[in-house]
Amino acid sequence: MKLNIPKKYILLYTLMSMMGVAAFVLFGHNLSLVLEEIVIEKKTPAVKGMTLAGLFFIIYAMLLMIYRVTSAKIANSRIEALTTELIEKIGDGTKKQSEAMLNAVFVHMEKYRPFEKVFIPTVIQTAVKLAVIIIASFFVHKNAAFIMLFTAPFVPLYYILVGLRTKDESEAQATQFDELGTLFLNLIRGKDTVRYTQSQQTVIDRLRSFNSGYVKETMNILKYAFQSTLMLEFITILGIGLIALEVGLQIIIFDGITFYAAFFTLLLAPEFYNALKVLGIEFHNGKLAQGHLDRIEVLIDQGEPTEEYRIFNAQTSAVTLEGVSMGHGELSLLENVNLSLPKTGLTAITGPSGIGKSTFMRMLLGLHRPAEGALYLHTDDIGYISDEVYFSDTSIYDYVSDGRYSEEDVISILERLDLMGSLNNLEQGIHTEIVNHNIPLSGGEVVRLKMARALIRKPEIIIMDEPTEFLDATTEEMVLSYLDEIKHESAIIAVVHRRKLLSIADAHYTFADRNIVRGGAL
Amino acid sequence: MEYLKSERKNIFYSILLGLAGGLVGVSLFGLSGYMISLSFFDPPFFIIVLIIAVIKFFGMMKGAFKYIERLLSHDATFRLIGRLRLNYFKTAIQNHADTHSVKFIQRLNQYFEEVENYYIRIVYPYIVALLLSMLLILLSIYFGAVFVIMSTVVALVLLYAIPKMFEKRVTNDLRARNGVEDALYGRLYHYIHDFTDLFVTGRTQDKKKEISQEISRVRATEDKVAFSDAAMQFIAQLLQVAALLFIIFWLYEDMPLLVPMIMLLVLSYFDLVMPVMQPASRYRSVKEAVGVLNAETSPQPTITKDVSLDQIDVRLLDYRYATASVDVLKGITVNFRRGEKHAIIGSSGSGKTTLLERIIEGGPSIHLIHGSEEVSQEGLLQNASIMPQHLDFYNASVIDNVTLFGHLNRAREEVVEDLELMEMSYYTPEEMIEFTGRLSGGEQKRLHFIRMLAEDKSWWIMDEPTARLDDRLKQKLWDQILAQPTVIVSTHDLSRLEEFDYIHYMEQGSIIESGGYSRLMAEKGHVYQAVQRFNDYL
Repeated sequence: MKLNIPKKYILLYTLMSMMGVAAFVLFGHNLSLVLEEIVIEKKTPAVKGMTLAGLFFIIYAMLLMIYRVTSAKIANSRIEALTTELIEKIGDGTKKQSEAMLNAVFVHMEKYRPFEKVFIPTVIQTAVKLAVIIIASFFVHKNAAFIMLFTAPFVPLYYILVGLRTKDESEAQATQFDELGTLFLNLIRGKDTVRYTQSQQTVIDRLRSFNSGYVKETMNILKYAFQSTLMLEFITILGIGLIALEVGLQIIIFDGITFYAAFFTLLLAPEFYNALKVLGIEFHNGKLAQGHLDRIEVLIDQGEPTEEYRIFNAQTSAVTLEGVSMGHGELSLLENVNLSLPKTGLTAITGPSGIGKSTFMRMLLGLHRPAEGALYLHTDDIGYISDEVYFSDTSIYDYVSDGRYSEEDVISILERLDLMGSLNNLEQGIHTEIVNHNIPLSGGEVVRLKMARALIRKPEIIIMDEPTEFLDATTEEMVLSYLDEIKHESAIIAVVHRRKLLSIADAHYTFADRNIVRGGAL
Repeated sequence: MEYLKSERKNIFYSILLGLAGGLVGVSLFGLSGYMISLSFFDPPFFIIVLIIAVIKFFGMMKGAFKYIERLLSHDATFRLIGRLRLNYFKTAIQNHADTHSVKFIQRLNQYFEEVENYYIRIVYPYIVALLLSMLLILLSIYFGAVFVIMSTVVALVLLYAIPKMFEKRVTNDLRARNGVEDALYGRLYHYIHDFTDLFVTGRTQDKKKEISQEISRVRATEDKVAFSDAAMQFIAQLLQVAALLFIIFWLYEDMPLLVPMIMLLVLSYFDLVMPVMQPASRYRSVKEAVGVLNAETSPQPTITKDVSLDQIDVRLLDYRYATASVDVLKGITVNFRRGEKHAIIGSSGSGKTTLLERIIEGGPSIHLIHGSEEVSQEGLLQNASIMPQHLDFYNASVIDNVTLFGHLNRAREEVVEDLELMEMSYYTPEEMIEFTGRLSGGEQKRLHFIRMLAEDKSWWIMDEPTARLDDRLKQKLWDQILAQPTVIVSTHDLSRLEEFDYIHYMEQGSIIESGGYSRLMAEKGHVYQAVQRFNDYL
């Protein structure tokens, strides 16, 4: 499995682990010396030996703590960076898949975190431990080192012979039982439909049978996982037993080993085999976590680049297109269009749906890169009045001002659009909170509110999608007269759906034959 | 714990096995320590062989115990969680809380994972560690009172003092983390949905900065928790080295032969008990989660026998959301009779969706009438198919989604035909769908529509049935809807308005105009204006 973190961290982790394991080995060394003194030589233990053993153990514990804190910090900031990278990819298309995005940030990211925080540091640490212990054993008691070298390959061998098959199997089951798990969650989420269709009993029965299936499946997977652990345990016992036997024989028959070496070896051997076990178990965890990273990366790769492609130096006109072609992949919507729109006045744009009007608007807004050609704008001071409205969990004042304008400014524009009358009728006036998209205003008033939000900034270019909400005649007149007034100072480019707005247009363009042409049949 | 009743046996055995495994493990190390001490004093050879044989045998036993113990404890826990899920679902289905947010679902999932941890990582290992400690304290009587005191102190510190010391800190950090995550969720949700506007006005950088700050805060709490965990281990290790040195100091004169044995025994005891500390420090926060899920189940309502619904009579309905300061519905009075088609129109936010929701949920102002009798809210669900604002789909096959796991009687061929009708033949009934992603808004509308066809009920109550569909599909859907006997529809699409018997125009939570199409058109009021505007489209 790939340790997908930069080499410098691998190096850092390796160095830190080496220091920690070395401290542990030195602790063992000193402890063994002290014990030899008291057991064999029946002496009072030397203060120096005791102090050194204690000191090295404390150093080992401290290094371990530093290692844990450092690796967690590194992992957490890498997760932070990954989350930020993901959020960079949010664009105007993300709302269509907002759930996938939120899931990636809140679910997959958290399931991936242990991979960086636990898996990688643990794997490096255990690998280092294995190496250091074998090397140390060569100095302490060669035969033990040979036994370790001889038995260690049984672990990967076991995985190759038995483990790999069970791994695939358990992974397949793991994905399946992930789905079973989420069935419960999406039944909770979709409980209204269950209630509306009165299918409670059927669904509960299904959930119950899913549950017992779930337990069975899970236990099957776990049986494999636990069997692997059991096998690892047996290999461990075999190894430790062999070493103990060899040490015992050395002591009694061959007299070829000191007490120091014997104790030290028996202290190191379990550490060695435990490390092997940990590697085996972590391998499985790591694989599962990577599935979540894949889900995150899909979204990161999908994200659209939002680099600026518009050039803000148009002098004489608000918008100029030079040889612009535009489309979605294979589908071409505009080809080699040249167009220039004046700095003031209302330009109406019409055409049947699906011909590219809204893509054109998005291109002007900087949200859709043209395939070819250059787009010049007079300024980036653009106001956008969209037909959609996202209006939730905010107050009317916050919605209009967005924290940039004072209460006086907000009231002044709301008065200009004749909204203060109805707003004053609300208990909390412009500070009324909007909950669940329920707006205590009429459709016409909501349209005016949207305009207030865009126009409070007095933008030089206004791009608008004509409101399709139900408007009363008063609002209709008011909106028209207001637009008629501000068009003398700003360029208004509007996708027009109805004839009425055309009456105050200064120019009218229509989409035809992948081009934008003047006039148009009305 | 009352949930554990039927798993008692499993749990009893797994604790017993865990304890045996732990004991064997500890004595294994002790024994090998004793062996080397002994070996240097020329014991009979067979004793050494015997000890090694016992060590190996113990090792095998330990492995086997651990294996069975894990199987038993996991099996018990998963059964328990299965039952917890079922109960939770039964309770959830009866309360009317909105469960559609990703955050809610994620939090719920997190709670269930915590419950799993609660049993597998907190309860069993802790009990096992506790029993093991008690046995070792008993054993230490052999070495005198000082040792009893020492081992008691060590056990108390490891199992109680250290986790307790960090519990508050960790609980607060985790709680703070949840708070930050909620705030982040809110911000992110707004950022995604308000992106276009933010981009155009050049505010995406500011918003991203705010979001990054929240993400940094999540990281900061993660770092804090990691620090606590590492610190706990460090303190325990300090205790460990103190204990080791103390043993040497105390025993080297009287029983030097036993020192290596006790040394290895203590090392292995710490290895066994230290991993329990971290989960134990989470006890309080996990306990909170378990509390949330253990909510009492209310009894299932008895299903009343089917009655046909003759009318829905709404009288002076007011409604206000719990957190809102203004009424979203004000004095709504409207009557829907069997055989009539009603359209509710009005701008977004005027209260159309809320009105339909209230009719479905019922309340003192909603009267459901059969003949001259009033019937319970069940009566509505027995008679009506509903297309709510949020459409629900499940991780299951298309046909399971349509028939709600076989609850509705719909033959496979009929579903195939319906899919064809709705131009969704690219799905076979057996194809698995995921609740997130894959289905577009329009596909969701159509698939739910197919579900309604399968329900085959006489009243249809629908919120915006034709939104997000192209013109041809819109008309197809209208053809089907208008062929139903009784229809209540809220819509922005006025293309078939003249085919409805009654039209209700809503504004600011009130119905301000009501009546037949031709009369309202003649009156030239709000409906007339709306139709004019709709027809004025280029």
